[in-house]
Amino acid sequence: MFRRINAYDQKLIRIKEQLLKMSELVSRGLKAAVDSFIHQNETTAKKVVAGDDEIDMMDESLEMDSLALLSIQQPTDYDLRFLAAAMRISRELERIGDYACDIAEATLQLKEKAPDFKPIVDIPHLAELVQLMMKKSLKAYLEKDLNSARQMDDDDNKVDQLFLSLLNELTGYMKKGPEYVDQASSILLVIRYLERIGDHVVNISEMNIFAETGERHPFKRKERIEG
Amino acid sequence: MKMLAALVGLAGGIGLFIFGMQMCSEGLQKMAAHRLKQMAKTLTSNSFCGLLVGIAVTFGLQSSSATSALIVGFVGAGLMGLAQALGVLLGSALGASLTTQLIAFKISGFALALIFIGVILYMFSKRLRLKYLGQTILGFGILFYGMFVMSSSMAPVRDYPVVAQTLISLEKYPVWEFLVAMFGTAIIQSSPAFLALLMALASHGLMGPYAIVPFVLGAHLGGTVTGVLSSLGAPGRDAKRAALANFGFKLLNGLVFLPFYRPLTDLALWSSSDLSREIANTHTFFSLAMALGFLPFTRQAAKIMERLIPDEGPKLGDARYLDESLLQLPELAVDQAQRQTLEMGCIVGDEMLKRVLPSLRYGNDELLDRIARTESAVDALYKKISQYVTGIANNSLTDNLMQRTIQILYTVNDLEHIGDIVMTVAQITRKIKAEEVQFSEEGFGELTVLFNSVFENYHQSLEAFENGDVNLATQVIKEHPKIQRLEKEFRFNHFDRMQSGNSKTITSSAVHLDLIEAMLRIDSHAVSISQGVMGIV
Repeated sequence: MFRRINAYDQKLIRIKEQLLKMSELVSRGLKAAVDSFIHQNETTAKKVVAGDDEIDMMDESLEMDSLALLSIQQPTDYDLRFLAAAMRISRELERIGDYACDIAEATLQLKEKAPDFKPIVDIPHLAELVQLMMKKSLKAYLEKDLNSARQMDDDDNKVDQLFLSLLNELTGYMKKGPEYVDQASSILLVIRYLERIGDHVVNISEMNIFAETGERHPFKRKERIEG
Repeated sequence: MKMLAALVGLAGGIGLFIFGMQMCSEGLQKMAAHRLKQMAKTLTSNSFCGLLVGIAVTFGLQSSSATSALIVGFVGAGLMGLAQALGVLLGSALGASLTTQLIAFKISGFALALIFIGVILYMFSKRLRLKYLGQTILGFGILFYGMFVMSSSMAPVRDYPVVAQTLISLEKYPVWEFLVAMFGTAIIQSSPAFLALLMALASHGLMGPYAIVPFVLGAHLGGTVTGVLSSLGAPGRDAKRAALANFGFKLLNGLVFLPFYRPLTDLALWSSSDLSREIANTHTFFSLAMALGFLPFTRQAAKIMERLIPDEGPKLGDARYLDESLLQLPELAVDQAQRQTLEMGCIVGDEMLKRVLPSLRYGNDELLDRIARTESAVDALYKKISQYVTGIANNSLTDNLMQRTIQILYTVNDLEHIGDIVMTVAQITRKIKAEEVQFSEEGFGELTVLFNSVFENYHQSLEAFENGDVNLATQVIKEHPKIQRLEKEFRFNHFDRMQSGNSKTITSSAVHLDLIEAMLRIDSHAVSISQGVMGIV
């Protein structure tokens, strides 16, 4: 049957649009932050830090809009899950934005300490993995592609493994001599931020699956089945 | 003057005795009714067990009429067969004779002590159980004190040889004594009270020994008269059958043993040297005789009763579960009220809601009349159930029972509203028929879809109410927004059809929209019933 879209449904769609807009902003911020770190670009880093306020405001307005929608009309099960998930996803994006900011701040700090910095470890690869994850997770959300969403924790495992090997490499540098400690600890923070972003991206997919199926912990269950 | 004083004393004594018995029974019921109820429900699978349960429950409640009310309630509710119930009633006579044995003890001296202890416990206990125990002891004390008053008021009668001689010489007329005892017991509605009166007479030698047997037989029979009378007004045939069978047992008992009152009296005199004890023993003897004589034949007796009082088809609007005599036992009364509410729900569902679509489709006059008749039956049930439930609430209720009564009141109210809504739908249907309005195919299809969703939800809410199923209730509530969406959708489609000039849609518009709105309202009542189940009231 032809499904008419009334104002309430339109507002639900609008929430999703807001989320996507926010996710684009966050992705762009993350990319800029990573670039600023790799290329030691102070201007880009400052732009990222300045851009975080907008993301925070979007999170707030999305939350208020969702709450307002809950009170306009009695929501169905699906609407309820959708709105709860939207609020949670918005919060996850906001956290990712904060980490992008942290990465940019690390850029600025490193600039002060070690101007002759050269990327010695494979940060670009880790950053690329995380950004791909984010892209995939958001695409899955947009297209309600639960199969892709369910793959997110496999992707996250790859990120975690890479993080651990980079960590080893970095501690190796630190052991070589004190002159490496400043650089290496900054890099360490950045890879840690990237790894955390991976976890938040997994949460986004978790919420995506919850909104569509009501299943609350898809990855925990998967672990149990596989384990 | 002395005679008048004696009579007043006697009357007052009986009054105290009955009051004490009732108080004692109330206290015991509050303490143990729940357990006794469980026992009566589970332990009556064969008639011998039934007999034991009858003894225990009657002695436990200190009232054979409370036992019969309980048992008749079970039979009416289908928890127990009539034959089993007759076994329990036979046991109940034995239980009552235990009481009689108890009052034959000369413990009037302790009566005031019992009253004192009872009052202390009743007034000053914080714990409910102790309070009820106090009430029970107080009741016993008053009961014994009543006996003392009766007995001492009889003392001066000895100074009137004429009266004393007349009383004693009564023993020559066993049939008259039998009838006097029967009517006397029927009037004061308690065979122990009547026997206590006999004991008071006996203690002053105002009764010949040969009067014992006819008096006791008469008291046995008289004790069942109340039951027969009250069963006349009770709903359900089984109550009448049980009461009549009980009366029949005791009548047969009287007819068989009355001719042998002399040898039986000798037997009683042999059993004890105390006249009061002899009276109690005689009572016990007949109770035993009846139990042994009739217990093997309860099945046959039940069959005879079923033939004497045949089933009649239940009438719509009859509240067959609402037994007034159960009002004193809140647990049971609430169960019964819930059953009745559920039945009301089924009537609203099957006799009203289910007929909505056919009546719309075919506009059958007879169908519409039936809906109207059912609606007044539902109104009647609503009144009966809410009155019954508020009747229970007059007694002290536990929190849990209070919660359940409130839930029942909400539910019957919702059911009554649904009945009203279906009634307006029936009126709409008459209008449709009179004006020869026709729905568009799509429109009727949508009404059917909406109706079926609401009907399903309604049934689930009833099921949730039946089983106190909170999960199911939640489902019903969650379904409501979907039905609201459906309603919006169908209203939109209707307007859409109107705009595109569907002539049937245009002529049926007002009716169509009224119907959609009616169904939405019915669903909100299903939600309200479910919220009641969840304690959201």
